[in-house]
Amino acid sequence: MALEADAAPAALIRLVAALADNKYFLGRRYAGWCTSAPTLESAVASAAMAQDEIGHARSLYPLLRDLAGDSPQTEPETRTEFDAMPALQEPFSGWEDFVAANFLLDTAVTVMLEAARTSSHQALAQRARRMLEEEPLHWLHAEGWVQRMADGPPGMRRALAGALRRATPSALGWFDHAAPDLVASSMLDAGAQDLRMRFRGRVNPPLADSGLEPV
Amino acid sequence: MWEVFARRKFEEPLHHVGTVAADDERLAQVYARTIFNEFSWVEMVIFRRDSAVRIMES
Repeated sequence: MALEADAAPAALIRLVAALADNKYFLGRRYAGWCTSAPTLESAVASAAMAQDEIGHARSLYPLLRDLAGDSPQTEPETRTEFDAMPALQEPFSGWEDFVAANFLLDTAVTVMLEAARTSSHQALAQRARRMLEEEPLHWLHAEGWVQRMADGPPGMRRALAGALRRATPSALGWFDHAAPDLVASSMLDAGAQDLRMRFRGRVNPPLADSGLEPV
Repeated sequence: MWEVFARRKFEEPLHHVGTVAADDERLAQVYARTIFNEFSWVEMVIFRRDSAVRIMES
């Protein structure tokens, strides 16, 4: 398939901006629970994951600047047009929202990074590989808390199920950033539909183990 | 409760670095990694405290 001139760069800019913004917002939302998580241990884990995510954003914004040029919109301190998922736009209303974001939204971003691991855009591929080294711990935390809350009292289980339902459209919609141009130019190894399948293949087995609805 | 052991060099023995409270093995791993992150460990292991075989007690 022939690419239109500049089509892939525009899609790449949108993807890198969205990766940076969602990492930044995940970090900010995780950080909000550093002092109010249910246990001291999970407070420390929240702080560590917040630090990871903000560190990832910090490595992606310079790439955005390289691709889109210097402007207030490519600096995180002056950027106002953030492209974060709807479920990350507002602070979490409870720990169940933290767990749902950790399980669904963090994982959705990870699935996108995995698709960029062998990207033809070297700078993106290098960053993706580096960021992915820290994500297995986030997944363990998410899986552990989903199981714990699903096995908890009925009210806790209902709260988790509700939070997962609210976060699901954000997670599935996120994959629209995997534009066909990016696949055609080998910047990503799969498009939106395939990435949604990979995502469901990751999150649905633990949801089934916990007797929760699949996404 | 989980006991956490780690070592900084392969030629050193594992030594006790602390404990973490978790009712899930996955969460215990995350908590141990994030709480005891002051060094670049080459190995870290966790054991359930109640799995210990007590061979002496005063």
